Amino acid sequence: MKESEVLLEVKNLKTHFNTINGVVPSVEDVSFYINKGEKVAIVGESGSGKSVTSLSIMRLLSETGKIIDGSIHFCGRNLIELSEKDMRKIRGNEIAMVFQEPLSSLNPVMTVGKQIMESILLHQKTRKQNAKQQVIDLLNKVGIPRPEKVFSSYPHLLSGGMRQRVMIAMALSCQPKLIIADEPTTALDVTIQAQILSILKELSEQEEVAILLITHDLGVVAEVADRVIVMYAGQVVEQAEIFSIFDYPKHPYTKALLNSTPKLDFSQTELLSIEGTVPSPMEIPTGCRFYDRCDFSSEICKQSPELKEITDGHQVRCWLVEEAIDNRI
Amino acid sequence: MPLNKDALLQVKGVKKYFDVSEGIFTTKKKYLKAVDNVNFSLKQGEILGIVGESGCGKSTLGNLIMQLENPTEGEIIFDGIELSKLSAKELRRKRKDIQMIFQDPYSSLNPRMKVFDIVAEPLRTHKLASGTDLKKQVYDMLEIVGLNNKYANRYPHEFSGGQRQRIGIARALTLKPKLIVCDEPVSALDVSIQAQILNLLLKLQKEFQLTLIFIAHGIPAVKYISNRIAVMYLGKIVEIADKEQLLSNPKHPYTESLLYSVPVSHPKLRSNHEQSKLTGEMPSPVDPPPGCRFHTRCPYADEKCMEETPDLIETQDKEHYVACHYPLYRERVSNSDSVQAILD
Repeated sequence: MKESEVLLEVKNLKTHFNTINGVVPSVEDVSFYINKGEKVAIVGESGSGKSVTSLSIMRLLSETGKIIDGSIHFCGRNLIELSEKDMRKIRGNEIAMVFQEPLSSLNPVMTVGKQIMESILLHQKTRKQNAKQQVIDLLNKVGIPRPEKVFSSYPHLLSGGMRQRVMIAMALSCQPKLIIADEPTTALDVTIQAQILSILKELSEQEEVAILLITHDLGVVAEVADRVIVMYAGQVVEQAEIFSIFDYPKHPYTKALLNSTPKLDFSQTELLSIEGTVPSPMEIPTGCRFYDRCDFSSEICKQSPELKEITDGHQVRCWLVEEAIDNRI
Repeated sequence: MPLNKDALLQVKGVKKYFDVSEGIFTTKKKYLKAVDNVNFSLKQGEILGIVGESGCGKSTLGNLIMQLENPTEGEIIFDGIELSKLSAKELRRKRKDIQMIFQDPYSSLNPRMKVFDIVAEPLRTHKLASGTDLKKQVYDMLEIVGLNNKYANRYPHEFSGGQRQRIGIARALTLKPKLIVCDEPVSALDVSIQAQILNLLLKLQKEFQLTLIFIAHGIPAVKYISNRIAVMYLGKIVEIADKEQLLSNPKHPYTESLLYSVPVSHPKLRSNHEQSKLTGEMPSPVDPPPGCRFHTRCPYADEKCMEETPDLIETQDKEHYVACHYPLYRERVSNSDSVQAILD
């Protein structure tokens, strides 16, 4: 991997929240990188810290949240050190975001076209007339029929799938280098989900935009990603190229997650479930965070494992990796 | 389709229209046809999965079976008795045999009631147990669904989503019902918890010989749990068959495209069926298209489909019903790189 190709590099990110009940460490020591034009997925259950990671990159944490440590380098600049004014030039312009619930992330009292135009006029020196044409082209690109009509409609008139397309058009409006999509299809039906995912894939290839996809659904990952980051309880537990994750998962959590996903496959007679729940960030166990739910935990797991590179580009946070845990599943 | 005489539940020509007329002076009525002429029967001990996109009427159908909603037309016969003919008092007694598990374990549990009272409420309402007997039954039930007795005096907010869903299941089970309608019981849960709940439901089904109606929008979960699957589109059942039969040999183009829309289970299977994915969205149920309701999105539709509404009829495969003028046959499916490809 050439250094020049790296678009975003997150190193030892630590994000904590100050609540009335004390400090909640949501993200602990997270490191990863995204190359130009690459599609990377972060998978994890609720409470794994995947959304907080993305909000930390955008510096959109609520007042109680604070980045304690680490660096986020984007195109050579450390985003953590930027002033709010400089950060605003990056948000929506160089890094754009697509959220899960399009209805609550769109302004209900502004027409769709105006909202998209807003970011174009803010970030680019262009005339209103040109901007309007740009918006219509964008709406066309994301597969919206009759874009002129949609341009002047309000969000509530559109269906969920259409709204998500509008969000993608908005994210694309300033030709960003990176789009962060936080559960973009979770609120949608399967048929619409398939449509949105193929739009995302197509666009990332045509426009050479990198995509950071945040999801809990391994199926979505299998459809889209080039590389996968698995998070559990605020830590990265495994990171690898997509085929390695699906063919040779190393961490017991990744394996369990793969086995607990219902498939259309008839060979799957039994769905393995992971007992217990993700530990609350208030009561993170010392040692390996998956200790309580892991079938293979032993004495050594009471100490914290490090994220270790086992083969080229495949990192795992587990003590038992050296032992042949593959043979035991 | 013929209805089975000794079925536990028979749904005959059931329709549910909601009045959505606008304005006070307009005389023209507008109806949202949420459920439009649905027929099926359910044997004792069977698990029927109902799938469809949002707005297809699957939840309304569940509510109709629960008698939470009165059908506009048609009969729902449970255990040989037509439910809509019962008086309020008789219905209340009958209700104890039909229970429901809801989608959202956060809003379906009373936040001011302790777990013990939530699970005990049905027993108290139907005056089936009291005192130590009640206590024993509730504790047993909590244990059956995998909750520790010491949680009985806690409130719902102290539990995680999966645990709450277990409380919801315990509440539905305490009356030892014959039929449980599960309305998307796992869609609000995390993947690893979904598997726990699905396995729990299967275990309980075997243990108590339950008959389940499992409503969901995702085929994989339904496939895992059901014996038979019904696919709904705009208020109608478009295909109903045995699980293996429906998945390996779908006859309705909608079922086929639903299967193709399911995200692949492995990246190597990626986009080898891009062309079969559904385009467009489901039309509004207020103004459904004439003829076959799927014709606007169907890749095989012709003029006949735009005019004539197809009936749900049995194909040459036994017990496999489909509502399509041109049902897909195995040859045709296997030519277009086949559902088998996803299944392999």
